[in-house]
Amino acid sequence: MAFPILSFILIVPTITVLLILFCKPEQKTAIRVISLIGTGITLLLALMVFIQYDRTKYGIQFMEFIPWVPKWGINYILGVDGLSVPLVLLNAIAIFTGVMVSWHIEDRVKEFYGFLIFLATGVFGVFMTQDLFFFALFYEVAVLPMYLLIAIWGSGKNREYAAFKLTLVLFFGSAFVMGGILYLYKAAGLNTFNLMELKRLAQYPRTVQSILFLLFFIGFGSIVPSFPLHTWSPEGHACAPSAVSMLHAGVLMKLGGYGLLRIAIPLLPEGLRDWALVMMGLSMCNIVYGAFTAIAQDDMKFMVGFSSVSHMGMVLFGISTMTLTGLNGAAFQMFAHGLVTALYFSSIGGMYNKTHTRMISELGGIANIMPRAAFFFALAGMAGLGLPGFAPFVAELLVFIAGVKKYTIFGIIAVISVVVTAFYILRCVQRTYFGRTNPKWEGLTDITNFDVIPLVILVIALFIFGMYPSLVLDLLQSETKNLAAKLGTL
Amino acid sequence: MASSLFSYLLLSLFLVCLGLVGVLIRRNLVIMLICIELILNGVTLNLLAINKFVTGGAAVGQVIAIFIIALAAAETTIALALIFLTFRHYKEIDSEKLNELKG
Amino acid sequence: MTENLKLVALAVFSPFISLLLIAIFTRGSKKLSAFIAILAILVSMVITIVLYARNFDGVKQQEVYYFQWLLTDYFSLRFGFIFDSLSLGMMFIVCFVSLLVHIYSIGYMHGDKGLARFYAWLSLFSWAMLVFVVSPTLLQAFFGWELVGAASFLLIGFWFHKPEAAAAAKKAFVMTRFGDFGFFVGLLILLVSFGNIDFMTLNQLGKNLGVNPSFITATSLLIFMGIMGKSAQFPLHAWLPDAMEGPTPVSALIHAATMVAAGIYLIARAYGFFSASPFTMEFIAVVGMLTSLIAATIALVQNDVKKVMAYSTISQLGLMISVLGGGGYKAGVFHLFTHAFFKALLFLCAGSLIHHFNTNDMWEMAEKGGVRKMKITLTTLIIGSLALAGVFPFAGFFSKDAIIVAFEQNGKELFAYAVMIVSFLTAYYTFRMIFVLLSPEPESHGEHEEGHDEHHGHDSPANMTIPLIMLAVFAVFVGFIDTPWLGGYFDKFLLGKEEIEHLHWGVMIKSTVVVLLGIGFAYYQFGGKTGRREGFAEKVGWIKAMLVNKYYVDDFYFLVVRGLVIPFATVLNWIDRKVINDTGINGSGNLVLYSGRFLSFLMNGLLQRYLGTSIAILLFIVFLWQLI
Repeated sequence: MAFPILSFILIVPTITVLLILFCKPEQKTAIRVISLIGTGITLLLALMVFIQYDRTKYGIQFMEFIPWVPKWGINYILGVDGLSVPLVLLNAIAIFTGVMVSWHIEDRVKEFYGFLIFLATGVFGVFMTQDLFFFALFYEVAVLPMYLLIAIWGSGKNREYAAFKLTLVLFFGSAFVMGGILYLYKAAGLNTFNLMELKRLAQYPRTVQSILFLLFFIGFGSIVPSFPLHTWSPEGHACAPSAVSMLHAGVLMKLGGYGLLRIAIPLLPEGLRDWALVMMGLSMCNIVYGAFTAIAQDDMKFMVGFSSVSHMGMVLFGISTMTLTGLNGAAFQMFAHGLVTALYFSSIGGMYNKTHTRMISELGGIANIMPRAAFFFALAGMAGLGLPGFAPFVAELLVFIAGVKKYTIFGIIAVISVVVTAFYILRCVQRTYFGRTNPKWEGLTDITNFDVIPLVILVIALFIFGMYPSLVLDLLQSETKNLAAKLGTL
Repeated sequence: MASSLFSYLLLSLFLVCLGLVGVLIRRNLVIMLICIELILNGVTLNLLAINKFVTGGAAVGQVIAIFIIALAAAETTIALALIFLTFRHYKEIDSEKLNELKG
Repeated sequence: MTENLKLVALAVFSPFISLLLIAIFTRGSKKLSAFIAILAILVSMVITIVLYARNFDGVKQQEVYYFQWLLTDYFSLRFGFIFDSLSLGMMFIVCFVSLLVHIYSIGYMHGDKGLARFYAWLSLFSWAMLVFVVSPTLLQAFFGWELVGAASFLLIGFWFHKPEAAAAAKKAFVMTRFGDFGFFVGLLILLVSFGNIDFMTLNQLGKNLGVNPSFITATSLLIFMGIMGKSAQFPLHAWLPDAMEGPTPVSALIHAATMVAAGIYLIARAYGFFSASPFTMEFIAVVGMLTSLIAATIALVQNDVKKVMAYSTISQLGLMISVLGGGGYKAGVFHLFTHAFFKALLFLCAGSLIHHFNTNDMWEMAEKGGVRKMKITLTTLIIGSLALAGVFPFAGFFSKDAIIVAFEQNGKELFAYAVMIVSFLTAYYTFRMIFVLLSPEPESHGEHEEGHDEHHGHDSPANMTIPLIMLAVFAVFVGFIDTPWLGGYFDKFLLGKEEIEHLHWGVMIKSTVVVLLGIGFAYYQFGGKTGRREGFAEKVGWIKAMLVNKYYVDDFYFLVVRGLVIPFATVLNWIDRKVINDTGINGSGNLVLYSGRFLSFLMNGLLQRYLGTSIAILLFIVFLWQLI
């Protein structure tokens, strides 16, 4: 048997968590270093997967298969295909940079890093498993620590409310997912949770597909987040510590889109066809409404939160077009948006550590005293508003192409968000970073060299995948092609 | 009539009902415990009667009966101990006033 | 890939490499960064000159090279390089002006602590602009188009500590972005209809491929919306005057010579496409001329030298766009070429003055005195002004006449007269500025501050004046390339036309008269010792108010943003918080909570009631069992 690299991607963070548990709470530096090394190794492994994945064959690779409960058809199956590989890399980048960004946390360091890495492990599991039972298991693992991370280490007076709401909405969604998975299992009658076999053999009648798709749409939609279940997201971002926001917006939200692409669409193509218009309508709300609402925000993280709502709407919009280009765009947007929001939140976090406020109206002229933090936020803003040369431009271009082709008018309405995004991002840059410095902030120092490393990593990734999108797009396309074939639009 | 199954069952039913009513209407924990013992005894009697008249006096039934008596003793001990502790803690053994579990 | 295209690719990527080098290695060192950036653009310039030398008589056969950027579904999104006379000419302008601005900035930006950043952004701009210029497809054009917009944002906001600069940067980006919305939609419609077509096919759409004319009208108008934003056409022109908050070399490079001309270049590049729709052409011509008139009138009352030049830029861009819309392809491109030189020259002169006097206001400059002592700056400024006003034999004269001739030849006499009016106004406001600057110094001033004068008496350093001289040379002579005296070189170069167009004496005389009238009028009102220092436009109160307030366009935008967009966002936010979150999400939470409260009466903590309930349920089950 070959080197089980995927299992190691799960095991390394798990061991890291265990090692952290053995540390004394006072050994803060040791805990940080252990986390950094652990996630660093994971990042290297993920890069190895990204590089070694055979781009001539595609399909599921690095397969590992261990029977778990054969009686019920549960197997421990890990395997990555074109869709998972970029997302595994994204998650590895997000957790590695997240660990570095949270270096300044002093409160209960041990528990913080434990939960953070535990969460990332769950996300890795979701992206890599090919078994529905384990999918559900990892899904819960990924969602659960979020409550503690926000409620304990968060900021703001209503962080408990935010954490509570976030967890409840996500569990509300995951209940639907769980029900859907069990129903899938039962209705297929194959006595297996093996996703690959289900994809190959399962036949669902049209009405069943329709009902099941609705379940998955509600379930995954709540984490995407789709309008009107989005309100947990800006609030959750705003209250979470930077690294948690990064993982949360960067990766956790992608579980929704991933779930749709991984489970719902290949198994239930008819269902998508039934619900595509609804999905398109909701995604319109996300895109336009989210963008306009972002203008009115005073808290920078709220603004970014609503911009996430807007940009994740692109994922749903792309899926709802049911064309190959749209699916490509949706998948690419998940990847690109993950990098952008991670950059947003880490740069805001760098500033917040010093100013202890994120209110745009209270700040101003920050670029004079913290040029680096300002520069990286502006860069994130430029990437976020779809500047060519950065990854989100590619994603938006693909989604818009598909959107205009499929739903001409609605596609054009979606393009409006491009202008609105430019408006709120630049307005924020102007009012927060540019202009004269509020005397209150004189004497603050810029972020350190160490703080800059994660930001640079994210910028490089955004730039590389923006200039040379085929690096990721070819991978994604190898999978979305199958989806489009199932949808009959290839 | 005197030694028929029916009369034993009648007696055990009487004991169980007596116990139940006692448990439900009395508010004193000790009395409730005694009533529970009554239910237990009624059930034991029921078991023995069925053992005698239906299965023809197999040893298993008698063993179970003895087992129940032994368990009852243990259970009573624990329950009494709990009641003692409750009293010591709350100065109260009226079940109506011990309603901390109220939602 | 042919030899020419390889050179083109090298020229395009040279500034990009400089950007990367500065960003990664030398951002700490000002000198090194400046050196790298200048070296990079010098490489591009040299390559362009080599290309030009190899194709002295114009590029006979258009050369194109593509590579695939990404492939999705049936779309192969390709990038590449195009090489023809138009792109060669534009490359020459971009590299030349950019190189001079790079050099000029050493002096102008001397001592600025963000110099490395400044040169990085200049490299970014040069790269993006070249990517745009050599793009063979509309998609790549959009790519470069957006990137130059971003570079423009960064450079306008270079002194971000100034609130005005920050606001201007945002305004410039958002307003052009609003235009780009149209461009993007048009591009998307073309993409989904025809795939990623190149300009050659695009130009054939209307004529040979029989595409529905109304489709072409719609898409071309959408794309023109982007051009209105980037080339500052009414009503999306309001960002350009504000953009003068940026460093002056930036204004010269981006907001005079190159980026704002991108729209004109795009129309020229896709001329077949635009001209396939008569309505679009008419629309373009009208918008351009309207812009030209509006901007020229606003320029009459400006006191900031850079604002005068900004409005004159808008006005001249309007002329180019208008003449392209009116069917004068060569005239539009020719004016773009000449304008790039003399407007960059004017801006750099203004920069030299501003650097010297530390103010933008022409009256203050005049008051401080010493303009006459800055010999090189003054001479080149007058040369630039003569070129802009269109006096024989300076560059603007020939290109403006070409515009008038083009309108007359296409039967648009009305437009030709409008150009006359614009050129009168141009001559007037340009020389208003010159005469104000030259106004005799107050006697006491000179005597009183002798030492001060001496200090002020010198001109700007050589790294600033040499670019001025080089541009001035072009501003004087570049106009001749379109005359029979040089064998109609420009026609041959751009269009490959062999026959030589004769001179239009009538037009030349008419326009000279108009221009001299304008200069004379300006002298009458502002010149010498007798001028009353009050322009004719300032005499009528309401006209002055209208012009000073720039026709209230800015106020209109302010009203739209403050009165419409932000309230709308606030209302949406309120809906989101109150209706969706508090009512919807919290409401459903509360529903669960209260239903729990309601059921909790069962949980009363009474032991016996629990027991009674369970016994009752048990009995009920037994009863049911019996029934079955």
